[in-house]
Amino acid sequence: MVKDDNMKDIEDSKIEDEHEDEHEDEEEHDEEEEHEEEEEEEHEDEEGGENKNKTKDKDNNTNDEKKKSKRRPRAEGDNQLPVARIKRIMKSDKDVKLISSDAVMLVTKSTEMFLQYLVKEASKSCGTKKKTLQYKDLASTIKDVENLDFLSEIIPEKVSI
Amino acid sequence: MSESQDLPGAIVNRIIKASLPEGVLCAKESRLAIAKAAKVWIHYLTAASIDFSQHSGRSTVSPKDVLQAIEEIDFEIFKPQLEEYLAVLKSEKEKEKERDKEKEKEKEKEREREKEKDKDNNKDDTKSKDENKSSKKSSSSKDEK
Repeated sequence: MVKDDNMKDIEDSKIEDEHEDEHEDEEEHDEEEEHEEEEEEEHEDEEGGENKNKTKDKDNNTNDEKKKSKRRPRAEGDNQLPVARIKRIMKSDKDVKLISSDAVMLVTKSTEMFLQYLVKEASKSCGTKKKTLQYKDLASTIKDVENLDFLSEIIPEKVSI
Repeated sequence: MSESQDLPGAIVNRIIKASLPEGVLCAKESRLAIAKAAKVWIHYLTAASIDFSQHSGRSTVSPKDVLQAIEEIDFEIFKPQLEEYLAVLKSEKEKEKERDKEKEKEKEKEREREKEKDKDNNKDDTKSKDENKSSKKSSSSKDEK
């Protein structure tokens, strides 16, 4: 009798495991949705904060630091951009069928790196004298740097007639 | 639809600010352009990754496809950091699995303990009942006296 009970327990646990596997995707999706909602709320908050802080730059800096320290502990894999949003953008491609969650995380991370790369390249071309990164700096960078060529139609150089 | 597929402006702005040298600002025009560029980047990288997954006959885009795609689109400078990041992700997942296993073990142990406790309690109950009976008997015997 005891053995039978044990066997049943094991079988039950196996069934539970399978069950969990089936629902894992859905749960993940839900979590991401929640995460995104949070991000959106923060987004609004930050926008409001920015408008207020346009008059007070010092406040803006201190607020940013506070927000970063708050964000750190729950940021999954230390991503700044919302993973769910990236996934949605990826899924808008008609050819896409399934994407592994790690692949989404990689794309998210690479997007962050791409942003940093683009801004750094552009700030090189705007020189040391200027204090603002202008559109024309960005456009000329994209034209000059070889691997940014795929953006040449999205961010074209302005042409004066 | 287009709004829900845009990247959150505040976060993009923060990354731009962090990447610029100190004291350099970013024109609103360039900020919009950079956000748009990031979106196009995601589409571009996704399309390249899908090509690789289709070539190897899979319907799921895997991390490996993304890494290959990064190389394909001339951004191999990102590869080392991304590989490192992927390794960290995997190790974190393994840690989580180990934690889950440990939790399950602890739960099983607790169950066993509870069972043992129940048994002990039952024994105690019978003992106490016996004691009660004996005490009653003794008391009754005292009464008789």
